[in-house]
Amino acid sequence: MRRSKLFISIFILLMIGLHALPVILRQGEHQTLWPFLAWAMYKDSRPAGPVQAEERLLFGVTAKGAREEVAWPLTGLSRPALGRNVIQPMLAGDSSAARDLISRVNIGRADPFVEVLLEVDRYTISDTGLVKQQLPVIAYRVSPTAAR
Amino acid sequence: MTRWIERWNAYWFPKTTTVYLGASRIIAVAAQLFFFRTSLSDQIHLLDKNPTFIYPQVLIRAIAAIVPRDVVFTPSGFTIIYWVTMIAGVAALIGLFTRASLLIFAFGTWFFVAHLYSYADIHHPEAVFCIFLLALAFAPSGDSLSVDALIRRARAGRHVPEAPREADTAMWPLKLAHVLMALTYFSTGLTKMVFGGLDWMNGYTLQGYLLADGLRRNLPLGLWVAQHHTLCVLLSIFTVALELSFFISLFVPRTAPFFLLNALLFQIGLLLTAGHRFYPHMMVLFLLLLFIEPEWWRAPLTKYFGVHLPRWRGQEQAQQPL
Repeated sequence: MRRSKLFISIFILLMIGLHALPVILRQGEHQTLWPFLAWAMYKDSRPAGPVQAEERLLFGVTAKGAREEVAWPLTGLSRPALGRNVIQPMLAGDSSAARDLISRVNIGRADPFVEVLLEVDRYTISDTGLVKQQLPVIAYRVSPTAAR
Repeated sequence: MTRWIERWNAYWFPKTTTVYLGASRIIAVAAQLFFFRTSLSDQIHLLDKNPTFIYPQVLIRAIAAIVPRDVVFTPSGFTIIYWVTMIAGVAALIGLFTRASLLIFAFGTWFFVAHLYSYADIHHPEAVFCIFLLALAFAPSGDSLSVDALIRRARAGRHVPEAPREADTAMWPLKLAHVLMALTYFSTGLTKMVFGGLDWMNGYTLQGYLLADGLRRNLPLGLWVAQHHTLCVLLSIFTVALELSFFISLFVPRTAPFFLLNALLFQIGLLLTAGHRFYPHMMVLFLLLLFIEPEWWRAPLTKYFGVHLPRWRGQEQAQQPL
């Protein structure tokens, strides 16, 4: 076998074989071996029954009283990371997630956020279409001095 | 052992024209340069908002271990790497110093994607495409349709177009992409069956996923499909069947266009109903559809339009199954 073919063969085997690593290491959601990834996406099933999903929106109230949506690009996190690292802990009652969020989004802001509001709308598929149910708003307040 | 090596060589290294590889290089590099390119301001925004990496990718960890964070991972460091990558990309596109420019372009692309995914969020769309970009750097991607080829011809004193060049290393990047596609689809399908079981095809599962994605990304088509149970059952069966059977295209090469076309339609469906932007993945499927088994479009071109492309010598060899 020519040298170049030998080198290419090793490259091919590496590129294929390295895909076994994330499976062996079981890194779950926090994979760090990109581009060698486990491809277990949308793998879980749900049993027969009502189909529900939630729409979650984050808002911030500034020190001057203005209300603004805290969209994910503002936070320096992607949308899924924002969901996992901020919204889910907030839903579970973790106030440190809200504090972390506020300190992130306040970087460089003249009118800092002092309160973060999490609004959740639950949608259920019914015979007549989508039924919307608003859940109570979850609010976390941070002192103006700690907000920066 | 010799028989295995012969089979290995027959599959990966058939003697073929380098034109398809050159065309693949142009399409893939152009797509990365003009459509999939990362935004420098987004990358710098990540640096500004995050004083540390959250879950650094292995490539980023390796670079940070060698070069201090405050040298490379700064707005000015990123700006330099970005423009070096872009210049290399333009050179790779036109085929100037093709291998070197492809290598720099591929590593630059890997660097920015790996950095993007070092903040607690990771996605799959670029993975196979980026491996393909790197593979192009180790193949004769500049032998055809390139400035390098023009220079080579000029130096040889030829002024008439030469016949398409052939090489036994012109096919393996496409074949590698094909194998990786089969691997990823099979892995995705298998995990659905292992973790979700047959319930994954009960319709409710897909309804739930489409409803969540449709709401999150405001997708009217996804929300509409989510409300049709029978349609979701059929689409679930199609999804699992495609993912688990895609690898057949490796063993029965004639079926490749069928599977690749279905996979492309599947990805377009995912984009429209769930907002999954697997554009680089779709680009790999498109390139495979064009070049891994090109007879499906070459034959009608000749039959109905009378276009006679030069016969791809060694084509029968290239169609060796895995």
